[in-house]
Parts: sequence; C-alpha cells; structure tokens
Amino acid sequence: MNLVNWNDKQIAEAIQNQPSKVETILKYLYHEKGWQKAAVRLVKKLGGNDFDGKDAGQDALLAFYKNVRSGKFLGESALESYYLQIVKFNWFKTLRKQKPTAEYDAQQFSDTETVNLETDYISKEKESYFEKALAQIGERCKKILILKYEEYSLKEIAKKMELKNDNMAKKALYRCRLKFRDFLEKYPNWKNLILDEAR
Amino acid sequence: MKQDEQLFEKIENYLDGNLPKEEATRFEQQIQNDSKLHELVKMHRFEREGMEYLFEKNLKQKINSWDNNYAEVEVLPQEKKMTIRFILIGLMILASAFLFWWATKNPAPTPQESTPETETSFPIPPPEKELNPNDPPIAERKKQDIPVKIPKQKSHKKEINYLALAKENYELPQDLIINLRGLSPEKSTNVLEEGFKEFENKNFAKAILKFEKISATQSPTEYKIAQKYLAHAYFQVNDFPNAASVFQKLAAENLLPEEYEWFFTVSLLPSYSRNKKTIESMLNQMTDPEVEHDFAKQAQKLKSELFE
Repeated sequence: MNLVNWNDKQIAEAIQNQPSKVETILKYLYHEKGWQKAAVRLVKKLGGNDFDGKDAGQDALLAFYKNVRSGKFLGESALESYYLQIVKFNWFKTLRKQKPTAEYDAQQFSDTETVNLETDYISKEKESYFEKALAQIGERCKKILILKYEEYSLKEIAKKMELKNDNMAKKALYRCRLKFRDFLEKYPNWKNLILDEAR
Repeated sequence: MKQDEQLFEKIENYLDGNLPKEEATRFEQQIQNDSKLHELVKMHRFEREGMEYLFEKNLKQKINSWDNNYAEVEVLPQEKKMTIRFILIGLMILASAFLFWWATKNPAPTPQESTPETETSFPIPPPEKELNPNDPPIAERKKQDIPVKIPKQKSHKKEINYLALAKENYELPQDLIINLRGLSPEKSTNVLEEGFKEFENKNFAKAILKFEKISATQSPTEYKIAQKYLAHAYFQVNDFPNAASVFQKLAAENLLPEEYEWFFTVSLLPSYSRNKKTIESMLNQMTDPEVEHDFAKQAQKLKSELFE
C-alpha cells in the first residue's frame, strides 16, 4: 500500500472504514511522516524530556485513531495538527496531574477542534471485565476476533488461521464468541451491569 | 444449535447494517416485542465493544514495539546505510571471486579419488590437551567454544524495555508454592482452595477470579492469604497496575514489608514514565545503608540499570 500520495481525507476515511489498514497507516504517519519526532519536539518545548515525548506521542497516536474512527475529527484542521493538538492536550493533562495547583492556559489550543480532543476511553470496570473475559478465551480466539474486527472475510480468516475452509472459520468465530459470552453467564453480576448500562 | 447460529448471524448482519431495509425494520420490531431477543442484541453489541477493546489493546502494543524497533534503525542515517550496502556488495563480489578461484585451483575429487574424512586436506587443529573421560562430550565443549555474540548495550535511557526489565527482576517466591502444598482442605474455604489449585497449575487468570471473590469482612484471615496470591497472579497476567496496588497495600499492612516493597516497585516498571518518581523514591529507600533492606542488592542493580 503506497500511502505517499494519499491526502488527509483519504487517510481519515480509511481509518474509519478499513480496520485492516489502520496499522499500516498509523505506522506510516508515525514514523515515515515524522509525527513521532514532531511529538517529541513539542513535548520537549513544553518542559518534558525525550522519554516524556515518546510516551505522549504513543498515547496520542492511539487517541488520534480512536477520535478519527469515532468521527470526532471534523476535518477542520490538518491531520498532523490535530494529532499534535492531542499530544499537547494530553501532555497538559499529565502535568496537571503532577502539579494540580499550576495553571495551564486553555487558549493554547486552536479553537476549532478543542472540544474534540478528549478521547472516550472505556470505564475501568468494563476494561477489567474485558481483560478477565479475554484471558479465558485463549490466544487463538483472540487472533480470530481481531481478524473479524479488522473485517477480514471468512475465507481470509480461514487462510490466516490455517483452517480448512470459510465454513470452519465461521464455526471457529462462533465458538470464540460463545466462549467470551460464557464468562457473562458465569458472572450474572457482570451481565446485569452490562445490560443496565446499555439501557 | 443450528438455529442459534442462524440467529447469531442475523444479529451480526443487523448490527453491521447488512440486512435489507425491509428486513431490518421487521427485525427491529421483533426486538422491541421480544425481551429475550432484545437482551441478546445488547450482548452482541457488548461483545463487539470487547473486540474493539482487544483490537485497540493489540494496536497499542504494536505502537510500543514500533518505537523499540525504530530506535535501532534510526541510529543509522541514510548515507551510512548506503555506505554499508556498498561495502556488503563489495564483500560479496570478493567472496564469489575467491570461491571461483578456489574451485578452479582445487577441482572436486571424483568418487574414486575420494578419501576418508580423516585424510581431508582441511587442517585439523591439534587438541589443546589430552582428552579426559570426565570432560564434557566434544559437541558440548565445541558449543562452549563458540564465541557468544553479545548484543550491544543500549546506551540511552529511553531505549530501555521496561516491561522486560520488570520480568527480569521478578521471580515468583518459591515459598508461595511450597505453602500451597502444606495447606489442608479443612483449614480453608472451597474458593480459596480452588484459587490455590489454579495458581499452582499456573492458571493465573482463573486464580484471580477465585481470590477476588474472598471478602475481607466475611473471612479476614483468608482474605489476607488470598491477597498475597492475588498480587502475584495479577503480575503473572501482566495486570501490573492491579499487582502494584495490592503489593502496596500488603507492604503497608505487613510487619515485614520488604518483599512487598520490592514487588511493588517491580510492578511499577512497565509504566515507568508515569511511576518514575515513586520508583526512584522506593529504590532510594531500599538502597539506604541504614535501612538494611532485604532487597538492597536487587534494588541497587535495578537502580544502576535505570539511572546510570
């Protein structure tokens, strides 16, 4: 996949609609397009060191992906500017945690996308549920579920997982989902929590 | 079963937006009128969220690994890479020329001319000393003689793999397993016993589920025991924040906190940037000569790996 000639709109659309390409795209932006270096430079300018910059750059890349995927990025700024705004936003949040009394100027963010810089992470409670449920399903099932999420066809999943045919892939996928659900059945408290939340 | 699979597929298609419009509307009505189906669709949505979480977690790990890989590649600027490429090509040409010269000068012997291996023209180095029956077998000794390629030490702090460092510095205390074997079933509840069994079989995720069930108010003694195992089980499944939190609590509540203080510090390592200050202060405390900490040696070693 040659991304050199892709514009921001094409990249954002691919992130939203083609999960199997996300990894390649993010890697390209982060390293080939120099986003990582830009993030480190920015954080150093704002009082951090190389390590902070690298750390903030990584976290912001995931936040960037989540925001673009969920449609929070409105296309009103260039992708790289948006990414760097997230780096800055998250870095200030880190500083605020370290020194709660210090004041950080909200004006430092461009007006257009500021409201969309926050990233929606799942609750700690849910995260802990997922971790426990996923620990039960095994590595093979995890791979199958990731491939499904990346929208690979059953035929491709069968090939990647060395299964006989797409019918076997379908069955394997079904079984993996049941294993995941099994956890819920064993722990009705979780089930109630989830169903309440979805209400 | 078949019916379940069909319904499963239908819900998936509905959530993916792949059902034809009329069928989707019909299905929506069905969902509204059937509470069981309604619940099933919610579960599907939740499972999909789980897959998204799994995908993001996987992505985060990959982003992390890119940095480690790129850190090494970036050391070489483009011009240097080109120079190395030219040198390698040059060496390959020289090696081919030498092989050609060697082959023309020493033609391969015909089968009749072939000689036993001992009379080969390749020089055999003389043994360094007389063979002793107590010496390890030749294959073993040869293995020892092969020069070991020591990877270059990374010189910059930011290149440290903190997760690997945490794992290197962690060792499951043997007394935990030994103690398990000494416990008699009548002394503990089923849940604690089940947890022990899972822990001993290294099913740490399942052990966590058991230990977490034991409440401090209902059975305080068992709770204390379970917490110790729980902290280690969290570490084993890479749930470092939870491991750190339980180790910290154990360190605060125990009269002999040194072991827990060490494990608490090690559990903080994978998120080094966030925990830098705490790690530093814990290591300073452990290496303070006046404290005579049980883990002073390990702490000193870790300190030098992190800060020097």
